Amino acid sequence: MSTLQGEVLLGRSRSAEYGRVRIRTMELDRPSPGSISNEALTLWLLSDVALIDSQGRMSIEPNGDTLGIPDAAVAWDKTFVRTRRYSPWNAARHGFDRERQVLTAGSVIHLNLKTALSVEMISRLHQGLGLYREAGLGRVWVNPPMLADEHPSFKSTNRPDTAVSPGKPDDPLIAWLQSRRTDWKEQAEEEARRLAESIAAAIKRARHFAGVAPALPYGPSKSQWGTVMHAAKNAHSSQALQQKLFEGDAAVIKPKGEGWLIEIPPEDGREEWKNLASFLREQLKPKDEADRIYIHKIRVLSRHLQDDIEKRRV
Amino acid sequence: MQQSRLYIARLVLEADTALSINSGSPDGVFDTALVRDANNLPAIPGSSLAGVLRHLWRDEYGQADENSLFGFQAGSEGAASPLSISWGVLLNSKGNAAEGLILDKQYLQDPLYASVLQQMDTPVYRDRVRLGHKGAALDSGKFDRAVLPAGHRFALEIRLWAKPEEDDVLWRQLLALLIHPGFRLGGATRAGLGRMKLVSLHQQQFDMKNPQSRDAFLGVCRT
Repeated sequence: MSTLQGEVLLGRSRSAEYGRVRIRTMELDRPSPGSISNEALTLWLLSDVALIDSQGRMSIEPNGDTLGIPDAAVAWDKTFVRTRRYSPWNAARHGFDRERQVLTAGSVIHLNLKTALSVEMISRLHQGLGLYREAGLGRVWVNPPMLADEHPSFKSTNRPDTAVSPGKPDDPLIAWLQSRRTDWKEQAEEEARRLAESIAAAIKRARHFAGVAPALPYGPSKSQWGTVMHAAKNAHSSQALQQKLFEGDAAVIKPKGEGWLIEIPPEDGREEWKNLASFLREQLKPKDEADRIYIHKIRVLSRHLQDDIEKRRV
Repeated sequence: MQQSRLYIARLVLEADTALSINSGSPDGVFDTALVRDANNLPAIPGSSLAGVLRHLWRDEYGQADENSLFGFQAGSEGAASPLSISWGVLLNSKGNAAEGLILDKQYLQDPLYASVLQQMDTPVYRDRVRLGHKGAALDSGKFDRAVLPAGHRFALEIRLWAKPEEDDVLWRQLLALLIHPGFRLGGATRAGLGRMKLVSLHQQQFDMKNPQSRDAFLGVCRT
């Protein structure tokens, strides 16, 4: 085991520094078998299992013979098995080893027993099944408690998570890398998408109520949203943008302006009717967010609505 | 004979008109975004300058020496260029370059740098319209182009390796292109953008086989 310890290179392209791994030994708890029944046995394959029959031939059919449990019959209605075949590459010999035909890890085999298994037999099953056990194959869990009922049940391991995540290194390079993050942009874009959907739905309700055909223009035009976009592109603060959009005679979105004055029916019947300008004034009120997030949100929002109009989705 | 003669020119270029070298990665709102370096400062990629110089060279001096000076690849044939051109880094209000990764935030609070960093979120841009073959605007043909206003200065370095027995004609011809009337960088040059003015140029040549000259090269300040 000591020769395995330390750093080794595994896999391909090792000369190009791929596959460097560090190996250390550690104690692992073997899964303890569940309650033993005299009539049935469940095997859960924790790794691939390569079975052989009594003639020494490889087999992918689990049965009493290949599993080494005489007088056992597979209950196929409770069994789930997948198989595969492969030839491992032997780097020392520069060639493939013998082909392996295996039951794949995760398969479940349920056996009906005619005679109860002895404790020694259970213990032998726990040592592993089939060939290539030295290479990690053949690990099984006998009567796993999780599969005792019709549906798998999961329990907490009750093992406290002792892994401590490494702290942020005190390095200026880390601070620089963090400064490159654009989470705020993604957050603004996600919110803009949601807002655009809500505004498009409101315009659709208004169109439906007014009985205007989808082919006819209704509500603000693409170029009106372009004006909103233009204001957002040139804005330096949330407050200035809000004013530019809604305040005064030169506001971009005027309550009596063409397109902005359409009446929006309330969504659930409890709210009051509003025209689109008032609806937008409420929807586009700056929250407690940075200026650049709000401004980017309005830019993306107007881009979405321009696309919706272009593709006649509102 | 090995190329052991090295010509170096360090120069400062100023954007005489607005400059628009784009990254090709727009953010979904603005149609274009300026090329920026690791410090988020606008920069001139060396390949951009090399492409313009190669184009001007062909126009001015023909195809002779073009491949040997700028390198080429044609099927299995090819040659590396003896010419190397650095990225152009932006100078601050005191005329110092922001070379490499700047971790000192104080340095980036220079008024000129602060202004161009502000333009990350609110870029200066020009509205443009794509025209059809009849000279009228095409549907959905409106777009914008981010620009760096005129007046910003960039420092960069050009190096050329040559054989010792060669004269410096190629080198002088190359540097002459920097004051060529057609010397413009970036996009929309036909719309007036990207005209560059050569503000200063310092040059030297070193013979790497001559110990004194080699020592002089090693003494050249790198930053």
